[in-house]
Amino acid sequence: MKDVLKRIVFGKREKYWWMNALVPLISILLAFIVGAIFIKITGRSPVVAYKLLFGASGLFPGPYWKSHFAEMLLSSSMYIATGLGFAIAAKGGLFNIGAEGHFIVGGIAAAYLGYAKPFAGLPKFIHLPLIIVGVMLAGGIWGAIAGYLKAKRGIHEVITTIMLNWIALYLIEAWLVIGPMEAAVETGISGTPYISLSAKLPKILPPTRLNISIIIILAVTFLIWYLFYKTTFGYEIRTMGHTLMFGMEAPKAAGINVERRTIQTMFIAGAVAALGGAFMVLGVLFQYPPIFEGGYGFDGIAVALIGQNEPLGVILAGILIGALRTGATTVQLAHIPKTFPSIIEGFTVGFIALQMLIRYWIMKLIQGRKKSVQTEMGGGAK
Amino acid sequence: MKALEVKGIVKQFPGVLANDNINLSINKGEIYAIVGENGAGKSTLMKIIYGLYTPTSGEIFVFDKKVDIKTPYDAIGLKIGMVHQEFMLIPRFTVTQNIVLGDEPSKGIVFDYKKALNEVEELSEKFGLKVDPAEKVANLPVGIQQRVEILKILRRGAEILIFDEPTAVLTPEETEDLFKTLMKLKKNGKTIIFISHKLKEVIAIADRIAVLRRGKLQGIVERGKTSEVELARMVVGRDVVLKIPKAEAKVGGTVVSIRDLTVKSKRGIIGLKEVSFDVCAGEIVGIAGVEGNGQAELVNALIGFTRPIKGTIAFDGEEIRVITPFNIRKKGMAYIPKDRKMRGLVLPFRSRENIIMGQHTLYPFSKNGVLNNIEIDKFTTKKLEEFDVRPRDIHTRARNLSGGNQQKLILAKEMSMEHKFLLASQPTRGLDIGAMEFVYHKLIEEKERGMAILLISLELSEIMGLSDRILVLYNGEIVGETTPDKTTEEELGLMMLGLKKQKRVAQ
Amino acid sequence: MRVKKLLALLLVVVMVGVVFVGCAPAEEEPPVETIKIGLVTDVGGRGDRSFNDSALRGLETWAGKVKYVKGGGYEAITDAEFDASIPEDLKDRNIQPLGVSAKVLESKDKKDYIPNIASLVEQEKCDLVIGVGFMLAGAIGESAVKYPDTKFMLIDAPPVDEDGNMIDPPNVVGYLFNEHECGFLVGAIAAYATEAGKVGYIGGMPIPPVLRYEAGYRAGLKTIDPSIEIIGQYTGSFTEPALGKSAAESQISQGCDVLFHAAGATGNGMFQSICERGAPYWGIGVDVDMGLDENLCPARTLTSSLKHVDYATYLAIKSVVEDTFHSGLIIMTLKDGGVGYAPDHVADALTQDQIDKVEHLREMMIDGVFEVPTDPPDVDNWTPPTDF
Repeated sequence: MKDVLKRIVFGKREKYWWMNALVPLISILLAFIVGAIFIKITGRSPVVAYKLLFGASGLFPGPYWKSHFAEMLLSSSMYIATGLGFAIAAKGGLFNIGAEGHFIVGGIAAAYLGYAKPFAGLPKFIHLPLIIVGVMLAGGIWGAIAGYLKAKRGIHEVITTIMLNWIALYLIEAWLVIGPMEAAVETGISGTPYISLSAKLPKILPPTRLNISIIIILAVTFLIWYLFYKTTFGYEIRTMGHTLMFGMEAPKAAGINVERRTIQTMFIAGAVAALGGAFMVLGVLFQYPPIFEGGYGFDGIAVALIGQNEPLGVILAGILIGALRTGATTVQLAHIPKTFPSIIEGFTVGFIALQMLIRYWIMKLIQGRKKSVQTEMGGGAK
Repeated sequence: MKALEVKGIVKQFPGVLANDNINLSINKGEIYAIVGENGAGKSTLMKIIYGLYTPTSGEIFVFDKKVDIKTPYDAIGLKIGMVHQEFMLIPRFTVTQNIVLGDEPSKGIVFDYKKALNEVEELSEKFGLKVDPAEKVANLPVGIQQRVEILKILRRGAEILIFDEPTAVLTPEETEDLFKTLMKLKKNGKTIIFISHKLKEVIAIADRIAVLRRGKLQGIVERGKTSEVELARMVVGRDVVLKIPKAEAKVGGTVVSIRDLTVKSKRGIIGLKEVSFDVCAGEIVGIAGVEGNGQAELVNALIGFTRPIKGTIAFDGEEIRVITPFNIRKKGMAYIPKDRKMRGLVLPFRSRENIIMGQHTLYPFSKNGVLNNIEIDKFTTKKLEEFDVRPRDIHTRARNLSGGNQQKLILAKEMSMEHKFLLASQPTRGLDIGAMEFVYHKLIEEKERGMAILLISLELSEIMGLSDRILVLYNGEIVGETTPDKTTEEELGLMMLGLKKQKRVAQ
Repeated sequence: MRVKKLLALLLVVVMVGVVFVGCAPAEEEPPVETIKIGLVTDVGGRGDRSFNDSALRGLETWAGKVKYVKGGGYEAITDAEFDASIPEDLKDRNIQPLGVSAKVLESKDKKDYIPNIASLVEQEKCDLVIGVGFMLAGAIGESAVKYPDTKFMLIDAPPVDEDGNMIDPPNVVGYLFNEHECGFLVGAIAAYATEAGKVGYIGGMPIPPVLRYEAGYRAGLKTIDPSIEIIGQYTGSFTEPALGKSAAESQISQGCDVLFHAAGATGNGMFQSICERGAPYWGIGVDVDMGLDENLCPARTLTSSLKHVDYATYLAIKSVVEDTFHSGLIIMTLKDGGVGYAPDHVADALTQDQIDKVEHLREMMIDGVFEVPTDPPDVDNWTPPTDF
């Protein structure tokens, strides 16, 4: 059992394989402890805060669990999407800050394909897959632009993805939503028109809003994992991931087409992150509103970092962040600001950034233990 | 008088005993060499003496006084100086600024540059180390930079100078100059500790030689009382064939032919000028030359990293218009890069992942884009055995392999790929004797299998010993073509410096 | 071994946490028979100095007679503080504490609206749930259908269903405002105040309430002096002061000396620009009395076109307390005290005669002598009143 787990979850035959899971866990734990200290300092009860936070997070059974659970998974599916958007690029050695842009591009594409005439009349089983494909194409192309600029022009992806985020935002919110895609005035709707019934994601846990987005994203995550670890394509991306950032050229020298793979990696990253925006539009808002402040793209970076850029890690981290966010608004009833869970998220990322230190401590712990065993044995031999 | 004495030095790292009860006694005014393979414990010992490591146990005496060296500052205070392999110079500063850095002469609180200039001039005259004190370090060749490092240490009053592999970065002429410098320092009464794995150099310069192997002191020999072969045996622990076995070339048809190849260097100037030559099946063509004379440009053009501005490269008589690493490898080129970490391996990857890089899209490693892990493991296990990569574990990450084993892994990767042409760019760079020997054997095996091999090396002995034909590259041009039996190392050296040209044998 | 122990310890901690969280009884609430009013802000949240704060004043300060302590919790306020919180034009509207308890949930994201409403209804058992802003139209609409026993109030929009169609459930009251009426008044004041004969207008996004402001403003200017030139623009955002500032800079450089914005936080940039220049430039605030806001530019705030979200909120709560709640749409007009203008520096910039004229126009509107257009293009064909 342990062996199977090891093989599936953590690289094979890693001596300290459990470290990859323990470090994020310790980081999260430390973040909660620091968060508790913060609450205590401001004169409130950490116990009550955490009780409310987790009580409404959907992670644990309790009152209104069903709806909290549904809300948690609803958020998680979006965080996993944007988290993967970062993780995929990171696997290929690219620092993708563009998930926010991909997310809203996905959102607007979903809204358009959801209400526009030739599509809106189609039966659901054709319409919905069509939207998903369209969304992934739109997000993918948006991502591939940054990939192209990196591969062919050598412009760093951090700069291009940030700029593309703003371009997407203003294209959408300052033009499309109040221009060509604006709902007719007489409907009284601000933002785009509402999507047709056939474009809505089917609900799976009535009466809650939970829909199939979580199933879609889990399937996509599995496919990404398969792509990374089982295919030559993923192999090539990983060779780049370990070298590109340090200016190493081993993959290129081995005949791998680094430029094309860079563009493709960014395409996939953009396509997956765009799914998050589609989930928002197709499952929660049913239109693209005039203002769409999400921040899901940036939280995706945190999710990927906590998840160590591994598909399974991203799922777990996405669920954690989704749970924190679901419980977030409820902590206000204990008169704790709604941003408190974000503070915990921030601390977790901070501790993850210190993971080398945490690893070092753990190693020291183990080695100290081993050493003491050795001296004991040595003493016994005398 | 004893300049430095260490008694019973032990250094235990987790899992490795790096120094095991080392006793050395070094006289004032002698050149003392410490040799050993990579990982024998030389550097560890020096770092202990220089205060970078604390020993697990043992004592150090400097000028007959027991000392406790905890930091490099302690070492400098005890007049111990170290010339590191990587120079600690600031390229944009002048020689003077670099030498006085950290201990500047001043007028009040203002840096007195004039005084510093004079000081440096005096110093360089006193020890006969010629430098231009006003020149920027970035504009100096490596050999002179090293001189600046030495001056920097001398200015701090060093009596004991430790040189960590000082010749690794030098050309043969620069090495000669360094040796002259060392002799001058010795005359001035300085004590020199010289760390190297190049036995020939050690025999040429050192008064006494200590041999380390696997952390243990194997013995101390005196100058003139040993031979290279004997020393090699002590270093490796067994007989080493340093003479490279000659194999008759059974020259076949032309595999690669290069015509008028002109390539720009990374800095944008012409690095390679109208170079033409052929490499035939079953021969090793050696390219001799001082580093920076067009080797990098030649390599980059051949593997498709740089597009030549003029000239053609033909493979099997067929000209390749646009060369990319992918299509030239498809034609059958294998490439041993000079920089293993940059171009050879993906360091965090395991052996099994590294070894298939470049052939991962081929059957049986993958089918329809899906990797076949069972076949990959089988293949890796076989190849690790064949190329003697240690450890044999197919899951070891390349990062955790020693330099020699990394190189073996690259050989395993490149030589198991289907190829007709092998481009070996400084294949023994930074390797110890054992690994070097292995590389030589593999290259000769390749040659006997009828591969066309282009060997680029800075080591003349390597070029002389392995090549069937030798081309000399100077300033981006081929200044001579010869064969090992028609020339000497001296003559090659002159050609490499552009002092002698030779008419090329007609193509 | 130690590692295993560590893991085991972790597991125990987590499990204890689960048990603790899962089984702990809900926090003891003293069984007080007060009416609970829930309020869900939009993503702007508390402290937006505009819409949300205004609604919170109606709920917390007026209906609850408490104030929010920074960091969390409420404390009671004195009668003096209570009286001071009521603006001039509402003094005669008989605002008295209603003794309700307030439950406020801020939203971090659009997705939070529905769960927040659900928490207030299910967990807190609120009698009335208030949604602030048109962004909550869908959430309030859906929740109203889902929880027919709870009353809902929606500010600035009618409730809509999942498809964006307007609906009229029996438990929702929507409050709309005649922004064009207060826009008209500040337009008239601006027309008297301008010396350059050029005024500016900065809009957030061209959504209906903002368009009504613009139409009223243009109509007001036209009424006083048809020759005044108006330079107007939409920034496309309600949240970015930088955009508001650059818009203001551009309008000032084109010669405008009185600027009016209806752009939420984007407009803060306009005040920043005005403050940096000082006299003779005037800024006109929107929604709340921005002349009272120390963080903006009280010295150069000519007036503010007031939209009494606070009063509407108060009225809705009052209807629940007095059991006179009616569903449907309520339009808050000048007559009802729903909109108005703030005195700020009007007396400094206008002569008493001019002020009287503005007041006269106000009375004419209340009496229904003339009507102000609601769409900016209609202003061109609209005949302004002349006999004021």
